[in-house]
Amino acid sequence: MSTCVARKGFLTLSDCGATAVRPCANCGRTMCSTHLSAQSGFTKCLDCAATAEPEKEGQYDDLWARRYRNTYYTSTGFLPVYGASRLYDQNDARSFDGGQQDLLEDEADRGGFGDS
Amino acid sequence: MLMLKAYRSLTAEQKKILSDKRLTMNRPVDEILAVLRPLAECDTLADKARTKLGCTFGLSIVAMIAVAIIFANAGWSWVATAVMVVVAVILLGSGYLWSWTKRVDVSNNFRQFALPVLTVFREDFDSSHPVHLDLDLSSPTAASKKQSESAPYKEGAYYKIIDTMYADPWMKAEAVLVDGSRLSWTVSDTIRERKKTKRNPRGKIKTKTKYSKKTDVDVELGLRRKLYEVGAAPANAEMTSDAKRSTVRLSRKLKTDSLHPIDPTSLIDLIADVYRSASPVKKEAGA
Repeated sequence: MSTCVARKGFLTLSDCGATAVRPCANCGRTMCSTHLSAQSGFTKCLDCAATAEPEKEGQYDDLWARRYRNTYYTSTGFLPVYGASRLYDQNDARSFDGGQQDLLEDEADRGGFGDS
Repeated sequence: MLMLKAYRSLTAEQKKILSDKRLTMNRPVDEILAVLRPLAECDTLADKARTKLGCTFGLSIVAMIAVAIIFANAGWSWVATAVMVVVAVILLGSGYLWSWTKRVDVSNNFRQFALPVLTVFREDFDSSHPVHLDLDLSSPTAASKKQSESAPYKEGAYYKIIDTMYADPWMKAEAVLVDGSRLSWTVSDTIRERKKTKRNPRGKIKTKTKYSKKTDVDVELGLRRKLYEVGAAPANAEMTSDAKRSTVRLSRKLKTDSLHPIDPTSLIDLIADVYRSASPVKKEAGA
């Protein structure tokens, strides 16, 4: 039986690890019933539903909490504790991107006939 | 009416919270949220209905007077009596429901601050430990919160100004987090209500009421030394340590020119700042 791969928490993150009921229809990650969004009919995980479903004003549920968490991490740069370290995600890695300069350097690194 | 349906679906405990306007709980966070969410839904519906009911009540008073004048001049008939009865029923019904929604109304701090904060931290609270929550849901300017009232004084065009001060310590919470940290916070408001009266150039007397609010948010977070090393504590923080925990105390003062609830992020930021200043202790290889 597969386990839920959602990360739970806000200040500190930990793996949910509960028994998964189905994969998310959007990202395919296995999720337990707690980490599937009720608004999507329990077909999408909270992360996917948070980006897909429109926000309802004044509705403070798990979906809102997930949306708030994502926005908070992105806007403040807060890195939650995950295990015994800070959690760096894809957004943190992308923040090092140099845009056009990186592309030019990649082109230069392509090498020629002399490269081994 | 959705509002009445929502109210009828509340449990006896939830109805008591609405009437007492006080909530003291010592339960796991999921149980607390299960009590609070239907209350918030009922309060949202009551807030929306109250405005409409207030308008209906006001308009039906005007309609009652207008209908009485019209039929007094045109002569009474069974039609006049029927119209008067309909208007009177609307007047009494809307008046009763309007005053009832005012009676069950709770401070917006509950719906717009306490509930979002508990929802955000839901998975951070250790579900095997109860969260202690104390909420004062009465109006921030309730008579019981009044501290002082100034003697009337003059300033500029205003010939009478009265300042009334209110103290509202409305939230207190204590919890154990999943990493064993002990978190507690308090939120209290100090409100100045200023009533200013002036006479305008046409001789009419106009009174304005303005509110100014200072909010004190105090946080105490005890991190386990086995798991975290607190380096430089956040600015203006107080730190103490014992064998087991490093305890950081942080405060923030916010000033606003209305009675609107403060943004929940102001508390979340303070707690996140303490976590920012702490480094997780790396486990030694083979440990």
